[in-house]
Amino acid sequence: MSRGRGPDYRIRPAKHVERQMILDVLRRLSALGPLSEYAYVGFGAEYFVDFTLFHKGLGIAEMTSIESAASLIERCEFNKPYDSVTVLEGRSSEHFAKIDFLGPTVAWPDYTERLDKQQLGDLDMLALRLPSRSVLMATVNAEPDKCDQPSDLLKLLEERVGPNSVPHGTKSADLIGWNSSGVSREIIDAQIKKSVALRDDGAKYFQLVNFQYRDGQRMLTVGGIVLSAADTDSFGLCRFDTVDGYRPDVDHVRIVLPQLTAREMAHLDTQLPCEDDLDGPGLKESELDAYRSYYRWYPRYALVDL
Amino acid sequence: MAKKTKQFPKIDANPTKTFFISMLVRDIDLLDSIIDLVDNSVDGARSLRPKTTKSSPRYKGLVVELTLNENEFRIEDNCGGIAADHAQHYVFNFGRKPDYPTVSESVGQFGVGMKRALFKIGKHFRIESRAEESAFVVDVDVPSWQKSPENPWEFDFDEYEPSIDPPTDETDRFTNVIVNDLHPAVAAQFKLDHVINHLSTMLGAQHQASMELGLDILVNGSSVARRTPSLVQSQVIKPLRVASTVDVDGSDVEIEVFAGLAESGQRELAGWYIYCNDRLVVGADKTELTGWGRTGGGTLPEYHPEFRKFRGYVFLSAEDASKLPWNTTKTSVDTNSVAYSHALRQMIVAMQQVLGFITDADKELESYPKRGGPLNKAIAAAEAVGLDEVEPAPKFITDIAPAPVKKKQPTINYKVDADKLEEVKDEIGVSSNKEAGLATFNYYYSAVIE
Repeated sequence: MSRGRGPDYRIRPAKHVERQMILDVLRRLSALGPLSEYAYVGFGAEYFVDFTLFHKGLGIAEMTSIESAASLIERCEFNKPYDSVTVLEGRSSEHFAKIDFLGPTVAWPDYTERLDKQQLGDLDMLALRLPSRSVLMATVNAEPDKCDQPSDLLKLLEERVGPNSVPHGTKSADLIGWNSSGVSREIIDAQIKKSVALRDDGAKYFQLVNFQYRDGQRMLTVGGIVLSAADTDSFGLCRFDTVDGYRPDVDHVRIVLPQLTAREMAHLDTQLPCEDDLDGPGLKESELDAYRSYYRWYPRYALVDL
Repeated sequence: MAKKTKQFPKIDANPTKTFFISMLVRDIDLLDSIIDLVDNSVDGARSLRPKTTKSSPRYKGLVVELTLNENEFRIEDNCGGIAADHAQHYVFNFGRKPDYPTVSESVGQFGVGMKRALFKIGKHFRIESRAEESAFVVDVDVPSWQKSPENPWEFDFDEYEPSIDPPTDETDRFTNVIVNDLHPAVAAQFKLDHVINHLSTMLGAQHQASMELGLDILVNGSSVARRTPSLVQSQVIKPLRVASTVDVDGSDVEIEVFAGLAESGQRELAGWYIYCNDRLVVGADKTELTGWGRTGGGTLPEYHPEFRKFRGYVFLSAEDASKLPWNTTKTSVDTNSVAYSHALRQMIVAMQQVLGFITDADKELESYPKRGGPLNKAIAAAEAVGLDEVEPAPKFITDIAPAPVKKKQPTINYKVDADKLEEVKDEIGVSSNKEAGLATFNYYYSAVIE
């Protein structure tokens, strides 16, 4: 949550694409009722990028940002983009146990650290308490732990998430590179399902998104919708399968964006959409494929002197 | 499926008495089995003085008296006695028959408690009882009963009066259970003062609700002290108190959850307390059973001494006691039951709220030692109240402005080579070790970090 020295959160291209794709997924919720009835809970820091996006893109008004860094509170209050945003100071675990969730809510704790017990505790609280039709997503750092011996990876994971959370059969080899992201997804998925099972509304959790992206560090965003027994039938109405970002299981969307010039992008755009080979002078097959997949959301950055 | 084509002989599956007794007594602690006998007396009191009774307090004049020494064990009560036909058909039966006439909101539940306790304690027992309109005596020498081959199993009455006219006065009704020829290990236990003390504290906690209604429990002549649950409350700290009802197979189980801080930071008392029909089943629990360090290896924190003021109380009540989640020894709850899952969900959320506040208060000590910060002052100022005085509140409420965080200034302490240090001091142009340390730290920070 505290991003003192981190990168500028507004100009991370992969994260930008992820947010846009999530927005597309969330728009499908309108099949269940007006999106403006949703509330949003997240970690807005001093930028509130996700808050602005969901207010503009979904019409969500009631928004809560949790900030644990006391030193940032003043800036958060100053920078909050809308009057309907509330900034709460303190630890997320405590607020997730106390916030009054009066209606369906999109909750997106966007952590910068690797998955740990504290975060699983947050997800536990949210999965237990969020009203039916709420969406619960989490972003975690998916970089493998730093260690001298790859064989230590399993031990380090156990220390972070607790031995009982480590999926049965996990080996250190499963924790190298992007593999680590898959294991984190499995742990989060198991935690949410376990918590939801304790609810008394017969609720079920349906995964909606499973993004892997990299603007520097490997990151994972996984989440889904919680539907009470009474609401489960309406899942089909949302037709999540019609949007690109929908991933109901281990299969992921991996967003790694090649850096292209404005002229290259414009040249490729004139050929898209298209399933055939793209013409891109000097560009690699993998770069062309990545652009084909994400061109609709590809950010264009320019330095503007305001 | 059920069609028989051939006739085969039956296979013998009868239990032996010896096996049955050894199995029955194995899984219960001695003191727990004694408390199980007290449960029977409490059920007697409940049925003698139902909620509609005119007595005030409800159990006024009712006494359960336990005597334990190396020669004998006795439990004597005046809680209404046991009807002779009830004894004939149900009391000595192993396990509850389906047509068992139940006591509303009873604590006796499984139909094994009394037999199990008697077998656990000694080799000879005698039960004398006088109820309103009947009386009986049963006297059993366990080794000879074990040897007798009757089938189905039976005990003999030594005295049996099926109808007494005029009816016995309430004050003359009684049940006395006497066990002697104690098992040597039990006799050794009953000699120890600390065993008697432990039994007394367990009874004080587990039956505190009945004692509050006027039931007097004596152990070796002294009354057991009630251990009343309490939480601190003030204008700015308010415990959570939430009541709900859950349907279990068509009948209601009432659940009430309390969570907050205790006045005492006694480690042994910290944790959750779970009551079934006012009988304490789980006390001061700090394990996964009540959500501590949830199965994931800790989505809630593991119990840690900083949480020693945490107290949570859960009361599960049902007219039909079989809907409650207790195990047969009444020492734990079934985590897979509907009623307990419902309670646990609330407990986890409640606990997270309280533990968060405790953590904040603990952190405050770093900036404000000696409990001088606003959170710790508020905790100290709040007063302990009985649970009845706790206002219903859906959340643990704390309305205290946190003090500004004083930025910590940690100290670094390390040893270096004396000659090298002098060289460094000369180079920087400082005289003290402290200045040299500070200068080298700042040098590193500006060169590498900034």
